[in-house]
Amino acid sequence: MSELLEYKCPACSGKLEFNSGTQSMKCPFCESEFDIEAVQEFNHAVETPDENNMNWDTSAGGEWASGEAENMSVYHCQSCGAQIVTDNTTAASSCPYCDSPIVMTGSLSGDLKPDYVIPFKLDKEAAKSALDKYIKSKKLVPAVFKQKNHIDEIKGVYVPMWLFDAKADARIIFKAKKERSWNDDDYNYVETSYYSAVRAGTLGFENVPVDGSTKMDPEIMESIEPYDFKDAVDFKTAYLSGYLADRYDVSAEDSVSRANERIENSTKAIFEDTVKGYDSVSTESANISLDDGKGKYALYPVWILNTSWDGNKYTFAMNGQTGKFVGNLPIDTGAAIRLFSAITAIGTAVIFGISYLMSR
Amino acid sequence: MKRKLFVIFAALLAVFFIPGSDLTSGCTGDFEACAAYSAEYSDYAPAYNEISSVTVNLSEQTKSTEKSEKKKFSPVRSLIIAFVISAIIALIVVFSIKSGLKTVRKKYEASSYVIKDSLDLRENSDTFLYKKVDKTERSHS
Repeated sequence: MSELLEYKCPACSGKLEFNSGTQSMKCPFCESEFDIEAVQEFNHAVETPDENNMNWDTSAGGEWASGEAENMSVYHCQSCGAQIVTDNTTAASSCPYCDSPIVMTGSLSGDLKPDYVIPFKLDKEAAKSALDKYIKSKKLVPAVFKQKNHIDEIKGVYVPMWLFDAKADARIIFKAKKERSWNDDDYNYVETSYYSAVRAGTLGFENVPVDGSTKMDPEIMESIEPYDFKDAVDFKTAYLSGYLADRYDVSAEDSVSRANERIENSTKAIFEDTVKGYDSVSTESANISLDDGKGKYALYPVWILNTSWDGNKYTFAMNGQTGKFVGNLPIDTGAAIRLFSAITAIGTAVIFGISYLMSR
Repeated sequence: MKRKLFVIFAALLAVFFIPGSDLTSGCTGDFEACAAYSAEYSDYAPAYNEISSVTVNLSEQTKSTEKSEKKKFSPVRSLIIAFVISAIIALIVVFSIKSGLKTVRKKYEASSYVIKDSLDLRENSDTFLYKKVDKTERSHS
């Protein structure tokens, strides 16, 4: 039995018909006409793509060597449930996430040993100075908040991160437009030319980080990126001395979806950048698969301060390697209203004065 | 006001330039001829003088009206406009300061983790599909 071939209209997806008068394909719905070869190429390009294939090898982390885990203590926070790890020489008394007292529950066993750690490059004084400078540089922050943020309670914490390497293999079809306009005495003309741009190829990613702790807000961790992996070293317990480490409670398998999302978005953006010379470009379809996807387990350094004010909790974080500082600050509503009123009053007087002088 | 001026001006032009007009037909020669001519048609002189004086008055009135229109300044309207513009500027300033207080943002891409020069395109083609021309009528004011 012969197969019935159908070609879709690139403009409206209607079924195209061969127009014997013009010897081209014509859409009976939107009346657009196309060259036969262009239609064949377009339809071949947009044939139903395979589903995205993103598979990962998530066997990250290692096993503790004999005696290594005995040097580590685990603390449990009864308020927020955080499990904090540190070495036996470091005394941990309060939770870095909610500031509640923490109790030692035992030794670290059964957990994965991190593959890598990026040691702290900036000390506590640098973190306090950065926090102080950050808050003072912002306008409309309540004065009381600036004074009472117990800066000394800032803590250095190693946050568990899953790092993903992958090679993205993508085939993306874009719809591009070029516009040209001109006019004569009677009409304005706009000519729009439509193109189909196909880009297929590979793109490599390494150390895409995903937060492995539910206690650490992933948006905060993403805000203090990027970390430079060149400073990463093989994990040794000695690096934890004087610092706290959060225990991972999000598995690598549960973290891959976030890594997939970021890799997919980056791949589309980078491929779109290669479509040049048009006035606008939009994605028609994308098929992305991952090859050689694998995960690693690492600890990343962060200086954290949790504080609460006026019934709300505020978290400040500084990248312990680069010094990048983030944190949402409250706004002084009264000061904002005063500023608004002052600008409005001065602006009104100035503009009114100018318009009066110009009228004379 | 302007229409009156135009009518009088047109009347003057008509009087002077329409063929057979009594005021022009005789006055083609030298000064003496013109003087004799105007003496003969002196009845028209007062009317002419009146029209010209009206014309002068009208043009002076127009100038003073234009001046007074220019001088007419509405303080209430200017104040309202000044207030609205200043309020918009103030809102922009306050919102931009407020947005600077929030530095925690989700990352949607992983562009910092792309391996340098790892992009390898095996298919890179652009195909022309079709062209569309839209035309809109121009308004002639």
